[in-house]
Amino acid sequence: MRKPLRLTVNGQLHQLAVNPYRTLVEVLREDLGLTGTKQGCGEGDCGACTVLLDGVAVNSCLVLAVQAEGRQITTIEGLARPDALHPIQQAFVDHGAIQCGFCTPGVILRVKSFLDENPAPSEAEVRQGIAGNLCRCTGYQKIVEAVLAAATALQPAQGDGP
Amino acid sequence: MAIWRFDVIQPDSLEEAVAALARHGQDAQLIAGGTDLLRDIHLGLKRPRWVISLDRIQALGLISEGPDGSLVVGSGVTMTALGADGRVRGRATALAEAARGMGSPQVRNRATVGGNLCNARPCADTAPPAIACDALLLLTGAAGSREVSCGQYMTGPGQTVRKADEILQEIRLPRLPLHTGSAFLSATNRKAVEITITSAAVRITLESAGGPIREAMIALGSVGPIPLRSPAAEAVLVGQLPVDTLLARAASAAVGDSRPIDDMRAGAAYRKWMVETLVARALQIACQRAREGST
Repeated sequence: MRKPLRLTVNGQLHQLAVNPYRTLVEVLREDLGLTGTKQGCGEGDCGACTVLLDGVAVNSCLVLAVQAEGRQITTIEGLARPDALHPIQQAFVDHGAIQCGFCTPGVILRVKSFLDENPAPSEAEVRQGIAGNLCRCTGYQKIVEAVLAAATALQPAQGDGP
Repeated sequence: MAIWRFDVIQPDSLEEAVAALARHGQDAQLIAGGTDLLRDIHLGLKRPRWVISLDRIQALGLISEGPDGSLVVGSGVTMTALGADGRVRGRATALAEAARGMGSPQVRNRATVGGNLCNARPCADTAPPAIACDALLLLTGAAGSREVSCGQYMTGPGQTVRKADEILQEIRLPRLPLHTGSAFLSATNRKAVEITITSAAVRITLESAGGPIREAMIALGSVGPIPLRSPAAEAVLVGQLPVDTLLARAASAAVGDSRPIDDMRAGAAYRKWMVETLVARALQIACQRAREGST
């Protein structure tokens, strides 16, 4: 028996009817066509399905879609501005922090929430911050460099204050 | 992987949730954060017909001060919230430490303290510190509410005293005496997204800042079918001054109270070494905290 579901995804309200056993990642990919979010392990180990739920990074394979009723979701499709990549995305491109790309949407969304909480992290904090995202192309060094560069790029310009 | 189909009930109140649980009994599973249940369903380990979600019962997600001075932690409080709350750190530092180390950031943002205690895995990281800090669990069912001490809650792997129609509503952390300190340490193969090989939670209450030990609680995780207290180590400590040689003797005594098994993560012998190492280190940290007056 399908349940009505209202989701605001990347600022846009969607009214759906979904089977209650479906996970958030399945609805995002299959019903809304937002295939930037990847399903990896399905167990919460890999972080490939990371999205922001009310600004908080979660594994969307471990959230029932009906548990997201009425909430705000950000996927990788909602991060870039119309004319430019988000500074985190640009930093990943600039630092070669992407190989096959399967982990990248989840990593970038986790980094977005991490830098929102901690805008000037140390390298060790970055490594802990992305501990829930696996990259099997073995690219963590470049990912860490990209996150540190993104943190700098996102800092408000010095000397603009009153 | 075949899709398992189930229906979801999303009650708005605890009373409705209890009624739904009473109605569907053995065919139902409760879900809070979902980090254990949805994984188990995905792997085919659990096949519920009904899933009762607690996500709309907002009171379960709150931390508040109780009238008796205890800190009331709703069972739906996430690991992230538990680890970040200054009142939890003041009351039960060991519990906050366990919450901060569990899983990954994404898992901690969903996983709840109630889920961790009710799944009752021998490796559940919040159980030893909750036991060491004298936590009381409030269970609410069709027949009303009752309190169970956390140390009496688990009865075997995945087994608790919770009845089929009961929901874990609150974890109550009592105000502990002055000069109390606690600490939690765990051994894991990796630094994140891991299952604990051995954990130790200790709580020490001193007579005074420079005085002898009045009370000692030592709880061990992943070295038995349920979290285990170590009466032998506690007996070594009580009444004595907390000097390093005494703490080492207590740690050594704790090994005898552990009952680890060999499994894919570690051998029983290694786990026993880890009991001694972790208890010794945790005792030193807890005693230091007790002298400084923090919990």
